[in-house]
Amino acid sequence: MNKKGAGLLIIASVGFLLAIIIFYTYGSKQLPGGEVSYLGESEVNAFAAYTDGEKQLLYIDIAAEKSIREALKEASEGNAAEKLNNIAMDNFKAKFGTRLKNFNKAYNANITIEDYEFTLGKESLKGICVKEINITSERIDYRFSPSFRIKL
Amino acid sequence: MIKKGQTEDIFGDLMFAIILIIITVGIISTHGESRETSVKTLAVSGMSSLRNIDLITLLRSPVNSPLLDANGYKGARFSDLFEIAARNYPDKKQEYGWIFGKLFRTDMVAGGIFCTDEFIGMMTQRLGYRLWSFNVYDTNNMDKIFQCDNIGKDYPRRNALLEGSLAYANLTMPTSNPDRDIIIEMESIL
Repeated sequence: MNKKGAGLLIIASVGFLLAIIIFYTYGSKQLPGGEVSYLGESEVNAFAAYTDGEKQLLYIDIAAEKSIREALKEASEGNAAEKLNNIAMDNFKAKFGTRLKNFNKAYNANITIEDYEFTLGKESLKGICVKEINITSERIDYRFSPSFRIKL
Repeated sequence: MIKKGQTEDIFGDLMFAIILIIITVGIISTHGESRETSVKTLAVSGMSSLRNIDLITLLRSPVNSPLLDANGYKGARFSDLFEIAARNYPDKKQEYGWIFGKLFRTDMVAGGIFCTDEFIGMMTQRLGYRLWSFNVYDTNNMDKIFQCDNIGKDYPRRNALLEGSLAYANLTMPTSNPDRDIIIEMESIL
């Protein structure tokens, strides 16, 4: 091989090697979501954040349902029907407020009874929360509102 | 073109090319392994996430038990069943006598509430897992309120742990006592 050819070959070969080294060293850091060790790791982390959110929503649903059923039962004892909803709502807010404190303790949240707007109808109770719960990890920021709708 | 007096070093060029190929393959193979495609560890954490969803779905699902329907729990869900266990710990309530002997039982020595074979059959059919276990704890003092499993001896658990097929799920749930929550833990082996 002549010197020109050999020189071109060496330049091309070294360039190729450098490209491979740079790719494997820095290429994975440029990926969306950053560098991960395992295939599918980011997706599993997203699913885990969603699962944590579902656990919290289950707590809120059960807490609201228990609170309103207890409140309605207590309110129906010896109170006229027209006052029933008002008395029940006051009872409900007291009971649900206590359960919300336990929820905050269990899930490191900061939701209070004042964050909710309640609507009590004949067939359902709705609670719309104006605050969001935030679940964050290294690459995930998942937000949702712990609202509920209970069928009576 | 080779000039007069110049020899073509074919062997030298070949060795140079082979060395470059070996270096390239070495770089690709060592860095390629850093993106692990053998996903045993990932599979366990992924399975636990799926089991958490299964647990949440179970707790929201109706039991469809004639026993519960006949005793004022028409449309009761599995979360209500665990909550009934919590209500009867540490002292059994008379008004829940109908469930003991049918779905729940107590053990004079061990304390806490256990399940009957009928409960085990119902759970196995509903969950679809080969082996499973439930433990329910009081969050105030971490007392074990209720336990139920079809795992039996410990070796299936140990084997599953080694194989990476043991998955965990847990969550906290409120009860009819506003000052008391329970933690429900589920293990499953496919």
